[in-house]
Amino acid sequence: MIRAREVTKSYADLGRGPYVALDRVSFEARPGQIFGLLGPNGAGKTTALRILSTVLKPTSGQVTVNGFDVATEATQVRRQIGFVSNNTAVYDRMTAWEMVEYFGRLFGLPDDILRPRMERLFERLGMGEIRDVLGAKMSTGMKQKVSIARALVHEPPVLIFDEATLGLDVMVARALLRTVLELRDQGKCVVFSTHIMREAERLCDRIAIMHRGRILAEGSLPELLERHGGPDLEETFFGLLSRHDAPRAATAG
Amino acid sequence: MLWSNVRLIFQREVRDQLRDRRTLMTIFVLPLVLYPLLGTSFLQIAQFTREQPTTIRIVGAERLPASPALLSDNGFHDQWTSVSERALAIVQLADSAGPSDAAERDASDSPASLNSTVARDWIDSGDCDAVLFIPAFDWFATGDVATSHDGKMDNPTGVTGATGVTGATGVTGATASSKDGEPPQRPRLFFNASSDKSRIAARRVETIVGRWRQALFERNLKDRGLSPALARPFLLESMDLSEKRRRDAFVWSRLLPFVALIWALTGAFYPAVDLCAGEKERGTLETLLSSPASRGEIVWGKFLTVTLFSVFTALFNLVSMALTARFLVGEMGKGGGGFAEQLGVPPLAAIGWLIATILPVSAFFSALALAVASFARSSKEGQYYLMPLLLVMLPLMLLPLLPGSALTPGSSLIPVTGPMLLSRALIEGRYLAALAAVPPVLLVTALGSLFALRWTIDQFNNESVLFRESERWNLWLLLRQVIRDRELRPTYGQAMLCAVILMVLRFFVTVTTPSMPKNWEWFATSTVNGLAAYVLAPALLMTLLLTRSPTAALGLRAPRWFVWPAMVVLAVAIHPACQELGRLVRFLYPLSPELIEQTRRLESLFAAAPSLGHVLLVLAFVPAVCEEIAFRGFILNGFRSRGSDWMAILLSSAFFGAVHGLIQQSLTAAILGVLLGYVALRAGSVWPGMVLHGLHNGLQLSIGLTVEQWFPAAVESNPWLSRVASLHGDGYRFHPWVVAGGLIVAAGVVWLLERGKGRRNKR
Repeated sequence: MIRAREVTKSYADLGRGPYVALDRVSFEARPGQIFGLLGPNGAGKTTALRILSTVLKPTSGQVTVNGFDVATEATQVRRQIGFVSNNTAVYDRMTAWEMVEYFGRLFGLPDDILRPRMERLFERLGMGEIRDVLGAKMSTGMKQKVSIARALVHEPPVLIFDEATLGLDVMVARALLRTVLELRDQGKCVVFSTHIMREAERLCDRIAIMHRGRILAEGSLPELLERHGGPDLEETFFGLLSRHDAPRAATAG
Repeated sequence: MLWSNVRLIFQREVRDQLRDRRTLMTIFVLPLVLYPLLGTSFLQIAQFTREQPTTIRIVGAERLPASPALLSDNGFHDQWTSVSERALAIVQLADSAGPSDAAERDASDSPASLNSTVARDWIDSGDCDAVLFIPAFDWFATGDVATSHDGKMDNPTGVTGATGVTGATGVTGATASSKDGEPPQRPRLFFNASSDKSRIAARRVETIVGRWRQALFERNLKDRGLSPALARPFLLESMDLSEKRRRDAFVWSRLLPFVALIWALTGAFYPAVDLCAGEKERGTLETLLSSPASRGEIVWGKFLTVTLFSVFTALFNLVSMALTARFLVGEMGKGGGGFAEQLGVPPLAAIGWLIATILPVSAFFSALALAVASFARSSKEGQYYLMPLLLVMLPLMLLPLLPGSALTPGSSLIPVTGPMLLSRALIEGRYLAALAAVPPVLLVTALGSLFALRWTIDQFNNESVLFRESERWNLWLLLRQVIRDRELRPTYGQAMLCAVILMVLRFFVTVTTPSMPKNWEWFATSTVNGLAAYVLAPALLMTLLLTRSPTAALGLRAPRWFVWPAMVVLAVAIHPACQELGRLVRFLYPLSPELIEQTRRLESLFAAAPSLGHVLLVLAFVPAVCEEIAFRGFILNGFRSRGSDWMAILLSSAFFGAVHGLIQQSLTAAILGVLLGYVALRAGSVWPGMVLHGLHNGLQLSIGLTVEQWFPAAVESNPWLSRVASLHGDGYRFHPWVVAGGLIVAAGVVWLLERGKGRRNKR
C-alpha cells in the first residue's frame, strides 16, 4: 500500500523560474483497489508516479510503499512495485523473452521460479507469438505487453500504470484495462494515471483529480459526484478545474 | 553493490552491442578491410615511384673513351648495370634526339658546353629526367687534352652537382664555357630536385657512372704499373650495434601504441554514447532505473561493456595493421627499398605487449567516455563531445612521440602518456625500466578511471541530468534566469565557469607577456596587475553579478579566534615538508637548464628589489589575497553546492594547480590547495587561508632568498643548527626529524580545527 504525505517537487526551470511540479500532494492507495490519478497533461501525474518508482526524489514530504520510504529505501521500494509507463520503453535489440528474463534476473529470481512464471505470464498475456521477436520489430501494442510482463515478473504487490493506454489501439487498450482489473482482483494495489474520463470511471475505485501539481478532489466516483455536483465525472472534472483556475485568472486579469 | 547484477547488465549490454550492425562494422569489419586496402594502395603508389623508367639525356657521348665503355647499344653497358637498372635508366643521346639547335655547337658534332638553362628546359618540358653532359676530358690522365690539368674528379661518384643542389629548380652547374683559358670542364649531371622522377634518374646515373669511374680509375693505375688496390682506400665502416629486433621495434614502438590508443578511445566512445545517451533517447533508461539494480551496478555494468569494446577495437586494428605492415614491408623489402629497410617488420611480440598495456588505458578511456556520454541527453549531443574529448587526450598521446621523451618516474605518473611509454619500453625490450614503471602507471590509471566512474554515478543520480528532455534552453533565458534567481552562493556551473575563465586568462597572460622581465619595478607591476585583473577581478565581478551575498559567496565571515594563531603554527609546521615536496617534484620532473637559468635570473631580480618587504608584498601578500578570494572563495564555495566537500576541495585544488604555468609549480600548488581548501571549509571562512597562504609564500621567499648569506655563519655560532637544516647546491633542506615533527604539529592543528567545527555545529 502507498502513503504519500505533503509531497512537493520543484525544479529550476529556465523560462519560468523555480517551478513547482507537485504541491503538497497527499493520498493513500490500498491493496485490492485501483487508485486513479486523473488530470490534464502537465498536472504532475508523471512526476508523482516517478517519485513512487524512485526515479525522482521528492523535494519535501514523505512517500512510503509497503512501509519503505522512497527516498531512503529505494532498492526495497523498487522490489515492491511494477512500473509501466510510456517512458519505460522496450529494448530494440532484445526479444520479448530475453527482456522479461533479464528483469526477472535483476530481481534476483532463480531459474526454477523464473521460467515457469514466465511461461504462465506469456500465456496469460497472449505473448506466445512475440516470444522471439526483437523489440524493434514489435508494434506498440506488443511492446506494451512486454512492458506489462516485465513489470509483473517479480509479482510485486504494487503496480503503477502511467498513461499506459496512450497510443494503443482500442483492442489492445481494452485488453490492458482487463489485465488491470484482474490484477486488482488478485489483491494488488494498483495506481493508474490517465487523462481519459471513461477509463477512470470504468476502472478506478478511488479517483484523485490533479491539476497544476495539486490534488483538487479525491474519493470514489459516487463520492466525487455527490460532493462536487455534476451529472458525470467529466462535468465534475471541468467544474473543479475552472473553479481552481478562476482566482488565478482574476489576479492575472 | 551486487556483482551478479553487474554481470547481468554487462552480459545484456554486450549482447545488445553485438546485435548492432554499426558496432560490428566499426569493431570487426572496418579494421579487417581498412588496413589491407590502405596497404594495397600504398604498395601501388610505392611501386609506381620505384619502378618508373627514367630518361637520361647524354650530351657528348662520342667524347667518352671507347674502353672501358660506359654505353653500349643505346644504353648503359651491362657491366655497370643490373638488368632492371638498364631497363629503368633509358639513355637518350642528344644527337639522335636532335634538340641540338638549342645548344651551342662545336664545329663538328656535339656542343662543347651545355648551358644550365637549356638543360632545365629539357627537364621541365619532360623530354628527359636528367641530363648528363660529357665534355672533352683527359680520361686517361695523359695530358693530351688541353683542359686536362684539373680533370681529377673530386667527389666519390665523380659526378659534380648531383648532391650540391642550388637554385630554385635544383639544376646545378654554372654556365660552362669552352673558350681558351677558361677552367677545364668536368662531366656534369643536371637534374631537378623538386621533381621526384628527376631525383630518381639522377640517383641512378650517379650509381652507374660511379661504378664505371671506379673501373676507369683502376685501369689508369694499372697502366702506370700501380696496384689497382690504390683506388680502394680505406672506408670508414659504421657498425650499428642495435639488434635487428630493436631496430625494427624503433618505429613501431612509437607508431603502434599511438594507433592503438586512438582506436581504444574511438572504440570506447561510440558504445558509451549508445549505452548512455542512446538509452536515454530510446526511453529504456527509465525502465532500467526502476529495476532493483542500483545506479552503481548499472554504471559498472556499462563501464565493463565499454571497456571490452574499446579493447577489442584497439586489438583488431592493431593486429590488422601489423599483419598488413608485415606483408607490405616484406613486399617492399624484395626490391631493396630503403624505406622498407628503415621501417623493419613490426615485431609480433610488440602486439603482445601492447595488448597488456592497452587494457588499463582502455578502462580509463571507457570511464571518461561514459562520464561524458552520460551527460548528453541524446546520441547526437553525445557525438558532439567526442572531438573535445579527443582534443583533451591528444596532447597526452602525442607527448610520448616527441623526441627525447622517455619513461621516467615523472612521466610514468602522467595519464595516457605513462602507459604509452611503458608499452614502448616493453616493445623495445627494456624490461627492468618497464617493471619499475608498472605500479605508478597502474595507480594513476586506476585512480583516473575510478574518479571518472564516480562522476558518472553522480550523473546517474542527478535528476536534472537524467530528465533533461523537456527543458527549454536558450542563452537569453539562461542569462535572465541567472540574474533573476541569484542565489546566496555560487552554483557548481558558475564555479566551473569562473575556473575556466581564470585558466583562459592565465593562458593569454602567459602568451602575451615576455618570459623575462626587464627589472624589478616592471616585474612587480606586472605581477600585481596580473593577479588583480586576471584572478581577483573576475571572481569579484562574478560574485557581484551572480550571487546575492558576497559574505556567503566568498566566505568573508570572521573565523573563531583560535584559528588565527593556528594558521601561524600551521604555516611554520608545514614549511619543512613543503621544502621536501618541492625537492621531490623537482626530482620527478627535473627543471630544464633554461628554466633553472630563468629562475636564477628572477632571483637576482628580487635581490634588486628595494627591500625584502617589497618582495613579500608582491609575491606573498598579493597572491594570497587574490588567489584565496578566487579559488577558496568563489570557486570552492560553488563546487560545494553539488557533491561532497572533498570533491569540491579536490576540484578547486586541481584548477588552482592548473593556473600555475609550470608543471612543477602546478603540482606543489595543487597539493597546497588541498590544505588551503580544507582550512577554508573547516574554518568556514576565507581569511585564515589567506594568512596561511601568505605566510607559506613569505617563509619560502624570505628564507630561500637569504639563507646562503646568514646560514653558514649561524651554524658556526650555533652548531646545533646543523642538526636542523643543511645547505645544498639547490637550496636548503631540513633534517627528516624536523620534517616529521612539523607534520605532527600540523596534524595537531588539523585536529583542533576538526574539534572546533564540531563545537560550532553543536552551537
